[in-house]
Amino acid sequence: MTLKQRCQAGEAKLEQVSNALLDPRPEILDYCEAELQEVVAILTGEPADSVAAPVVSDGPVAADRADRNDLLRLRHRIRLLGMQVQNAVNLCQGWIQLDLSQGYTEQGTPAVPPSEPAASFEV
Amino acid sequence: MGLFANLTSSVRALNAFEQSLEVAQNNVSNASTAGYAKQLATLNALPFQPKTGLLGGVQAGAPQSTRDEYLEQAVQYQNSVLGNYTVQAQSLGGVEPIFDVTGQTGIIAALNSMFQSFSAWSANPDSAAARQDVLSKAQDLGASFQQAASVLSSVTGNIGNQIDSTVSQINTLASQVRDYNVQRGQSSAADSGLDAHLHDTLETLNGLAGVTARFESDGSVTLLLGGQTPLVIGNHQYSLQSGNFTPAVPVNPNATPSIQILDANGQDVTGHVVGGTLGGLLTVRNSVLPGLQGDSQQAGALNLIAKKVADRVNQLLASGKDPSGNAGAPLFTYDASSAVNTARSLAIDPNITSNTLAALDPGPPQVANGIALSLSGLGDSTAATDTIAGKSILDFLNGQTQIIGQQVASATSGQTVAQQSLTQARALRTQVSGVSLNAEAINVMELQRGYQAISKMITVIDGLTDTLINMVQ
Repeated sequence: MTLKQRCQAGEAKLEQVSNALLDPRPEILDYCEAELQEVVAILTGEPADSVAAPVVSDGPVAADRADRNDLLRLRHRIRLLGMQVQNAVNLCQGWIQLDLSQGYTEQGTPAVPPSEPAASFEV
Repeated sequence: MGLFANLTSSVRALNAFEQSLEVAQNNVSNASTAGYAKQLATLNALPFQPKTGLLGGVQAGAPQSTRDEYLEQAVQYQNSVLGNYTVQAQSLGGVEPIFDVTGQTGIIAALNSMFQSFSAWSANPDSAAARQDVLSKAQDLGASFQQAASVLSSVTGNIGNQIDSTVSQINTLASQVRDYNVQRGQSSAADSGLDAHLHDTLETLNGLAGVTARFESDGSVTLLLGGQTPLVIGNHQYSLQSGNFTPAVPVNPNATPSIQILDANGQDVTGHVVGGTLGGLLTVRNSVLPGLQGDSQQAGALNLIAKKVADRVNQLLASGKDPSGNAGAPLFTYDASSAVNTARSLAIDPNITSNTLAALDPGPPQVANGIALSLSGLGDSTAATDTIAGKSILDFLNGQTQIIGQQVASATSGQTVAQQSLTQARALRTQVSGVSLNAEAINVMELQRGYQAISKMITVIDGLTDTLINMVQ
């Protein structure tokens, strides 16, 4: 499998994950995690052919400009997905804080405890 | 799929997820809101045709309510039944002591005491103490009847006020349903907050009166009292009012009038009030109490007993001779101008003294204690002149006691059963449309854990991609 093919396969998987995440259910998230593990396997797997096979290993790898563009596009895609997931993590965390934690007002802002009596500066 | 498509898909993903969480947020925030039904997030699949620019994916749809109107109706009905029985039990509970089934207090006790004093007098017809005791017990009986009439009058007044207040509450709640219709007409989308308020209002309304709510195709609610009399149609409210009713030709003109419920056109719709607090109040006010204290058409059991006792005692005494040989003086007096005033005006005659009580039956044959003996047996006498509705005075009184006792017991047990049924109906409704804070929290926590795992995987892939990029430079 060429680098280009790996990038395309990985990108297709990322696309599937991104769409699957539109339906936020625990079982869907398990599925997405498995899909991402496959992406890792695709990118780190042994090459099917030896032509310009960029495996993660030491040593120089022959690659052309097009391969680099494929990788950049893949990285852009994974970072978009990262933003999507991070936003979901933040929302969940905020929701849990807002509704389940002590110390927050109904508006979600931290509830400031009553202040201690101020010390007198009078001499 | 190009970069733009990716961005579009991502933005849509964020929106869908945010909306899903907003629904959970709204459920949790309204977990204690009366009438609120749990909302479910919906996701709609979008067409996927890359060649024509349709990028596929899923889009968040409008939240769906889990409300089950059948279960709502079950709760509303049980609330109506409970309201009916509760107010009957409360109202009759105030009347029951008048007819104390134990015979220790009330009219039964006073009547028995008087008959016992007659009996003691018959054993010692010349005894001044026995004569004085007769006067004393007769006075107590009069006071007992007056007190009973006063209690009934007070209960009647209280129920009248409660009916006025309940009708006012019904009109206020109906106006809230009308306001709902107005707001619903201004927005095409369903509002879970408005919906919660509406159903809370309907539940309260049914506790006050049996009201049918019909959901129209335009989203508005039509309210019908007893399924017949319109209270709200669209943006229009039709207010109820309560009023007194006296027939054109009353037998007892001075009697307390019955109460009727009038619709917005002034038509009598009392018969349409079939449940709720108002139904129970009307039952007690227009059926139970008149049977005791009378109304425009009947004298009432309490007045019948008072009149029979007073008349027969006076007649027997008048047929006898007092120690001076004079005809016996009447023991009781009452307002004879109206059949419904007997109990409240019953008292011993102000002119009577112990010396004018006639114990002697002139006969023939003459019996020294004949009248006193007849008086002592008056309560159990089944002679036609001594009976009420074919029963002796004490039997008739006991019959009334049993009727009231049965009505109180029926209302109390009905109240208990209705409370249990209502609790059951509410539990069933909560299972279907109630918000479980634990379930909502578990859902979101599971989501968070899943997303965090994915986030770690993404970090790995991102790093891997960076490594590959560095390798192909």
